[in-house]
Amino acid sequence: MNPFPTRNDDLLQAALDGEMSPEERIEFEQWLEGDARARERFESMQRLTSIVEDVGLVVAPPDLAAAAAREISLRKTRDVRNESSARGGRAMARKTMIGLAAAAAVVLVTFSITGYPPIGKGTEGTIGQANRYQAAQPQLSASDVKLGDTAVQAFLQSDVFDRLMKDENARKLLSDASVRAMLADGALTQSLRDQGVARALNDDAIKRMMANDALRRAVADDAVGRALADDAVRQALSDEATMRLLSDPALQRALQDQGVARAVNDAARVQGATMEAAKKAANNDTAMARALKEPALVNALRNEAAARVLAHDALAQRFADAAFVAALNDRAISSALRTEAAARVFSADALRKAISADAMQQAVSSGLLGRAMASDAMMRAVQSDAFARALMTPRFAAAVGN
Amino acid sequence: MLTNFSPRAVYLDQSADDGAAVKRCLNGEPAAFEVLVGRYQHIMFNVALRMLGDYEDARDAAQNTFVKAYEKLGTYDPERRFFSWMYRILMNECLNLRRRPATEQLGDTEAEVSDSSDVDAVEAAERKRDVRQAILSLSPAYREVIVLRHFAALSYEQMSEAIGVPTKTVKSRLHTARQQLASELAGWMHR
Repeated sequence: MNPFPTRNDDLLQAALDGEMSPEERIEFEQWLEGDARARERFESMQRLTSIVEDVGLVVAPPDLAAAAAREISLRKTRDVRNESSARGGRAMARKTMIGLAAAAAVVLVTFSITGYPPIGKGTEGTIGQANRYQAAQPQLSASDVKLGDTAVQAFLQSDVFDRLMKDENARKLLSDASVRAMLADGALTQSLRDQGVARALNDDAIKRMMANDALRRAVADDAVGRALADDAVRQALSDEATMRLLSDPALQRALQDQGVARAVNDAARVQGATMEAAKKAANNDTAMARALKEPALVNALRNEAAARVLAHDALAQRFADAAFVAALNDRAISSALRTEAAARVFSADALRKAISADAMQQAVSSGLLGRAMASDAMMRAVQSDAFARALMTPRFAAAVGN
Repeated sequence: MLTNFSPRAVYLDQSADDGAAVKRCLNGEPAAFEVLVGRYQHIMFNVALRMLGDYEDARDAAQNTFVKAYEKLGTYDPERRFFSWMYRILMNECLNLRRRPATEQLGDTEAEVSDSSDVDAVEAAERKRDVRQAILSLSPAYREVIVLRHFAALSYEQMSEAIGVPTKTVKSRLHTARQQLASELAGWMHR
C-alpha cells in the first residue's frame, strides 16, 4: 500500500469527499474518460464509502443532555460544599489549637487581667503599670485588673505582657466583653491559682508559644469560652504535666500543621462536639500528643482522607501503643491511608473494633499488613464485614503476623 | 458519465453561533450551555461510538466531554471552532475509556438480528458488523479521520483543525485508512 497519494489518488479522494475545485473536476473527468482502471478504482472507492456510511448514525441516548446537566449541577454543588468544608476546616483548625495549646495561652492572657498567680507580697508597684495599660486600652475597666488580689508585678513587667498589649489581636480579645466575663468566672480563677499552672506559665517555652501569631489568633476564637467553661479543661490546665507537654516545641510545630489540626478536629466532629476534643486534649492525652510528634504521622495527616481515618476515636486511643505508632510509619500503610478507599474501609464500625483488638495490633506492627494494604485487592476485601470479623480473631492476626 | 458527485453530507450546523452561546454562558447564563449540548450531542456521541465501539462507553465519553467543556469553558478560544475544541476533550475521554480490547466492545444496541428469515437483512447486518469491526481495527490516527469524514461529515479543513494536523496529513491518513479498510472489507466490496 502506498501511503503517499499520487496526484491521481489525490483527485480520486477529493472527488469522493466532494472537495474538488471546478478545475480539478474537469481534470478528474478527463482522466477517468481515458483510463478504464481509474474508473474501476473510483467505483470501488465509491462502493467502500457506501458500505462504510451504511453503518449509519445511532440516535444519541435520550437522557444524554439531561445526564450531563445533572452531573454539572452535582459538581457545582460539590464544589460549593468543598469550599465551605474547607472554610470549616480552617475554622476548626483554630479550635484545635485552642483545645491542645491555646488554652494555655488563654491562661496567660487571663493573668494579664486577674493578675494571678501570686508571686510575692506587695502589689503597690503594679498600680502604675496597670493604669498605664488601662489608659492605653480604655476598653479595659479598672475592675478587670484585680491588683489587690494578686501579685502581678512581675508579670505586668514581663516582655510577654508587653508584647501581648502591643498585639492588636490580643487587645481586641481583651476588649471583648464576653471574653472578660468568661475570664471573670470564679471557678476558672480558682483553677488558675494552682501553683503548677503558675510554674508552667513562667516557663520560657510557654512564653515563646505566646509569641506565635497563630496561637494568639486562636485565642480570639469563641471556642475558648466553651473550653474554659468545662471543669475537665480547667482541671487539666492546672496539671503541670499538661503544661510541660504543651510547651514541647515538636508538639507545637505539629499543632500548627493544618493536616494535624484537621485530624484532631475531625475527631471532634465524629464525636459530635468540639468540646469533647478540647477536653480530650486538655486531659493530658499524652499518647495522642506523643503520636502527633512522629514526623511520619504528621505527614500522613496532611492528607485529608488519612486525617479522617486517624482522627477516629478508636484509632486515637491506639496512639498510646508504640507499636501502633511505629506501624503508622510504615510507608505502605501511610500510602494506603491517603486513599479515599482506606477512609471508607476504616469508617466501618466492625473494622474499627477489629483494630482495637490486641491481636490486630500485633499484625499491624508486623509491617506485613502494611504491605498488603498497598494492594487494591486487599483494600476491596477489607471492606467486607466478614473480613472485619476475621480480623478480630487472634488466629488471623497470628497468620498475618507470621 | 461515471462520476456521480453526491453532495457532501452535513451533520454540523456551520451557521450556528457557538461563540454567542459560550459568551452567554460565561456571563452567568448556564442555560445557554444547553443549546450547545443540544447542538452537538448527536455528533459527539456518534464519534465516540465509532472510536470506542461501545454504546455505554460512548455515552460516558460524550457526557464527560460536556461536563468538562462546561468546567473549562473559560479556556475556549472563540477564534477556533467550538466543535474542534470539544473534539479534543472527547478524544481525551475516549483514550481514558479505551480499557477493553476493541473486538469485545460491540454494543448490544447495535447487535443485528442474526436469526432473521430475511436473507438480505441478515447479510446487511453481517456487513455492518464487519464494517464496524474494520473501523475499530484501524489505528486511532486512521480511525479518527474515517470517523470524522464518514460519521461527522467534516471537511478536510475542519478535520485538520479538530485533529491539529495539516490538511495534507489529513488527506494522507484518509488515503491510507481507506486502503486498509478496502483490504479488510474486500469480500463485501465485490459482491
